[in-house]
Amino acid sequence: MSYTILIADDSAIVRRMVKKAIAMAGLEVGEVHEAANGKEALSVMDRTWIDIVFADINMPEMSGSDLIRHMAAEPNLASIPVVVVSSEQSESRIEEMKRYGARAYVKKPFRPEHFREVVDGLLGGKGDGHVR
Amino acid sequence: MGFWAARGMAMSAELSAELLAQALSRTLEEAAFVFAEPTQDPPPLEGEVIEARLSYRGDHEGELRLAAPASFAASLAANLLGEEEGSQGAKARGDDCIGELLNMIAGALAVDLFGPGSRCLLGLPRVRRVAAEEHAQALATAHAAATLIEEEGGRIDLSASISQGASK
Repeated sequence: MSYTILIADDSAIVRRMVKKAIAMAGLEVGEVHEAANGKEALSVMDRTWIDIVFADINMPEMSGSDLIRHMAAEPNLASIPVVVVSSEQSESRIEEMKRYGARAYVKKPFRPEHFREVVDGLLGGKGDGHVR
Repeated sequence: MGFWAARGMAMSAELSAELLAQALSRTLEEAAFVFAEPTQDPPPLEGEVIEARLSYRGDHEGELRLAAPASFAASLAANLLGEEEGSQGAKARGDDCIGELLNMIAGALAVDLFGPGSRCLLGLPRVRRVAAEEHAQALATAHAAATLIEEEGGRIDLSASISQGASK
């Protein structure tokens, strides 16, 4: 089974880095969609099946935390796991994102194996992904 | 240490030139596999410099600034993306690369400065190109600054300015 992934980050270079890391992780990925903010991410999910979302926190227009809260409140989107990919590393920020509904947290800089562990944990039937 | 100490003003034990140099060095290594060290004799900057700024608010407020010549920024972008050095893709992403590196550095520095349990808000990086002279002036007036040189001579500067309050 291959996964359809959505990467939401306002930085084109980060979206590219995440795509590359996912490819290097050896994950079975079908389509990869991109969004530059939370609003664009919601628009993508409105018209496309998405298995997992990788989202930055700080984005213009609609932040990652607003995206996560919106998805958690929307029955059609609540079951899609959101993984926060962020340079913010404080425990309080990570806990806050988990409270909003994030299922895992990947800190930048990241390595391909971080994505493998998280995706295997969330979509591979091994329970929740863990915070790195 | 001497160079950092000489550049860093007596702001706080936490926000120092040494702390900036450590965060910059660690991020370059982990994100781009670039190994860089502080220097006491940095090569002069010429032409345009890509400069990223990012505001932060924790126990004190301030701004971080990361700057590198365009040619070195393109080289860093190639490393970040795992692309051929000199490729059009890497050249086109030099500006974005400096902004993202600063974002990563800020995340690590926030924990270094305020502790892992503290709340620190980070702004979005703002990137622009400035003349070398303008950058040198900003560097000279920062509260703390560090300059690192990588193996092939690429120069990158990280500085911090505090705008309000005092650090812990």
